[in-house]
Amino acid sequence: MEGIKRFLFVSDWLLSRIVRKLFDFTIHVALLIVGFSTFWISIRLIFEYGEGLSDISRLEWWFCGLSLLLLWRYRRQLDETENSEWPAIRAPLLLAGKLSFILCFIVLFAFSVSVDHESSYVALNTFFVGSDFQLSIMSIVLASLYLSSPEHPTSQRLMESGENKNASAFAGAGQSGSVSDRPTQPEVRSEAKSVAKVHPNGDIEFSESRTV
Amino acid sequence: MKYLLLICLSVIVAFMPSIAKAKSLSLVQSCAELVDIYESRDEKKFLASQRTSLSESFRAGYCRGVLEQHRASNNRHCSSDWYKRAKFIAALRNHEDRFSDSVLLKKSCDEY
Repeated sequence: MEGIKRFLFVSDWLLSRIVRKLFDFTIHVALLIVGFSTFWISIRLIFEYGEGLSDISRLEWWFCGLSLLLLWRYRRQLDETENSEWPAIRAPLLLAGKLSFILCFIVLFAFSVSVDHESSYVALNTFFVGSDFQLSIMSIVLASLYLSSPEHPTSQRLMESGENKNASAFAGAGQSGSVSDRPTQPEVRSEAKSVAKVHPNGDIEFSESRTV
Repeated sequence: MKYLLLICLSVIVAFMPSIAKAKSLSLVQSCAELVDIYESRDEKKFLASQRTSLSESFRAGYCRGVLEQHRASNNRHCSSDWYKRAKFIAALRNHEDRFSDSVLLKKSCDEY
């Protein structure tokens, strides 16, 4: 009986984890698709009539220039951080996907609270083909290229060294309590404590110790 | 090699209009462009001149010309506000295939 209970408990646990992983994966893929679509739509909206340079307005020229500048900046940053290719491509796409979802929610909310539903439907219909929509898409592309900068190597090193310091302090203190309230810990006498040791590879090892 | 590729791409984009086939202009699409430029009959949208490309302004001009011409040839019983008529036609974007241009113009005339 106990074995069956244990089996059910573990299988339920595993199932919830699998469903959670699937959910995360689906969200991730959906964001990537939406992000890619945003980039693709921004290009399609510039060359909407397929008439070459006649299709490009002055604002679109600015957008193209700024995009190239931001891409060059992103490329420079990636060269310094030595990131692999896939995370480098994924970061702006994910950000663009998130920003597009936010835009969709704002637009739908703005039009749904309108009193006159018929006119708001027409307005919504014309919004997605108008230049306001194009402006929003271009802003999303520029923002995602600007904001997807990778972690700076210096700050990464600082964070790593900070983590090591914390780890060494953490190894000396009890398991309970945050780093800031550790100085109060030595007052506790003759109490079993679990001491954590953090290895350089990131593994944390807990061991029981008794202080007097 | 990289620069050569860039130059080739630029040339393709620049000469695309001359390669493209001549297309008839859609009245609904053209009126949508016109509505996209103007806020109302007498007022342009913010940064309209910066946001409008050559092909968009060409289409907007086509729509306005057709509306003015239609009004002139119909004993002026239509509204003089071309913006309202253009907005009415642009709103029928999803039903573009159901109506011919002349029907759209007549409907917009009856409505305003």
